[in-house]
Amino acid sequence: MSWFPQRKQRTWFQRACETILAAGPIPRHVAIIMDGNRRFAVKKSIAKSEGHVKGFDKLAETLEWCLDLGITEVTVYAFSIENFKRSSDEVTCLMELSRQKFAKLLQERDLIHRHGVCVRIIGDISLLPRDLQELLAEAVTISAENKRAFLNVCFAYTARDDMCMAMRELTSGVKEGHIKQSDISESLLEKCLYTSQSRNVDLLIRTSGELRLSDFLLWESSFSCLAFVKVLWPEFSIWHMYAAILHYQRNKSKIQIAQQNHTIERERLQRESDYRNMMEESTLSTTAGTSSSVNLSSTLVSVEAPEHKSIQVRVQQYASEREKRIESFLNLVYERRAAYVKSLLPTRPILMTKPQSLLTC
Amino acid sequence: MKTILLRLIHYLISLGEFLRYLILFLPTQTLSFSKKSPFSIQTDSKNLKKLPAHIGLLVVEDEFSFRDLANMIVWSVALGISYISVYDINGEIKRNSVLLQKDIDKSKEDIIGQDKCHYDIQLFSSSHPVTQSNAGASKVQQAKVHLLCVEDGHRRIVDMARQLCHNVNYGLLKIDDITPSNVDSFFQESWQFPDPELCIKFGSVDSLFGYLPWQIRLTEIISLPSHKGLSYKSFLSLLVQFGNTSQRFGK
Repeated sequence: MSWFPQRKQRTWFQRACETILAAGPIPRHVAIIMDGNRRFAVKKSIAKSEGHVKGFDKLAETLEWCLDLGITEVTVYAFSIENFKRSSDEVTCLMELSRQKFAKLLQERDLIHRHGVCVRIIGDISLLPRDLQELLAEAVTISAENKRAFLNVCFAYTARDDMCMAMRELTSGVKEGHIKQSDISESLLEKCLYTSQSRNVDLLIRTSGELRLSDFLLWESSFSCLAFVKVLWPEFSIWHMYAAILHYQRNKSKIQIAQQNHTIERERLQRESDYRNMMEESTLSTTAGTSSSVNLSSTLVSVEAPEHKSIQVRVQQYASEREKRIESFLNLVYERRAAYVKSLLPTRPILMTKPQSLLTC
Repeated sequence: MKTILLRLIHYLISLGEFLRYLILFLPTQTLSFSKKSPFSIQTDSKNLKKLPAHIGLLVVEDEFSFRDLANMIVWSVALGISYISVYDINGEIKRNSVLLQKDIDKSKEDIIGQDKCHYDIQLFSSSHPVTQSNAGASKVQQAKVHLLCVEDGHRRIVDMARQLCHNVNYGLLKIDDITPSNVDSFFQESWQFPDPELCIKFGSVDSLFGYLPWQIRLTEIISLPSHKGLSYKSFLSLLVQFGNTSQRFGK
């Protein structure tokens, strides 16, 4: 099945529900744990791989619902690093399915551009087979300029791995002297995550009745509305989607207040840390200064002019230097990531291959 | 017009949930005031398929009932749970740890009675961190209660990032050693508790509000509308529900 299935006409009742829902706040970023494909396969006594195919079809359908509802960003948990522990048959099968689906996506590039969808891959794709890496890199590259809707596919991802990668990034940034250790903050760590380009997750949906996050967006979902849905993923219907949005709307105001307070607190902490670091720096520099120019101290009173500058101004100056430092560090990080994706692109001219034969595993 | 309809739907759902709450929870609350002996709690504990080593109580309500929280803590301890964390975003519970301690002592008296000296319940928070101290007599069952707030969430991960950065710069650690399993053991070392296996969230809003983002990875999250007046029976039923879940760990 295609990524952009033939649009099904909504019934008048669905359309009515949609317009009513649209009168309230619509989540802008929805994250989904598509759980239950294998249990669905067992339930319907079909092959496991068939269950995964059904799961993909449901994803394509759900993306269409999201676009219609005005949800502009969707993050899906496609494959966890832990999933490599599954039987090698199943892993190969999932990789093959992904290969086919991303090859298909590349064929449908006109539709991607028409819908203005930007595809991002979240995770450590170096763990994947090389040919799949190439496909993913190509999908990311061709859609990078699109801005209307965002599809983040978590592939070879776990949230803890993501946080550790960010910590490594920060550590090497400090080691190479791009940033200071004291520059490390919640917002900087956040900007080093794979999800740095995404907006806040408003609503997190998990299907199949499991009540846990399973290492998905742990950092990002702290202030998201959680919706645990009982049905298996291939059975997820537009009504479940509507119910999840209603649930979000009823929770939204309280979560938003908590989130705003959190942001304010972060800013306060940042100001405090700027003040502390500025003071530390100035005491360091004055002690160094007095020791070297101890003989001239009486004549060079003017050297102490900075002391007269109000503390506020100096804190602001420190803050703007810190911001500059962080900006150039982040630019480096993002450039390196973009270069990595580019390096994966196949060197041969990209061929429009025929769709591969049916899934054979 | 559409907005009014939407509001109406929201009110209807709220009403429905309120009624459901009345029907499902009130009877159990008013009926079960019979005293539980520690012996019967221990039998209950044996009947559970599994018991969390660490249970998290996450209160997303505006009003707190320390007495009910204390009850839950004592029940957990009597069931054999050794780590309990109590979270509210603003740190209201953390600031009033003295009150909670008093209520725990009262609950202990009520629930465990004469055996109460067999249980040692200690409160910890960022201002009273865990100290490696008394191993204690083997007969005394120790339980550690951590009082947490939003500051113990993302910020502790940032602290960890700084610490690791420091260690790498001083050659105590290699950058490649910053792996999920290593960082996890550093966290366990600094917190002195395992990841919560069960988290009970009280309140009508379904969100974690910054509760332990690193540790929440595999936690079962069960929601209840309120912690006020929670009975032993309903508390136990949550643990039964937890006992019946199975995790696949990605497999």
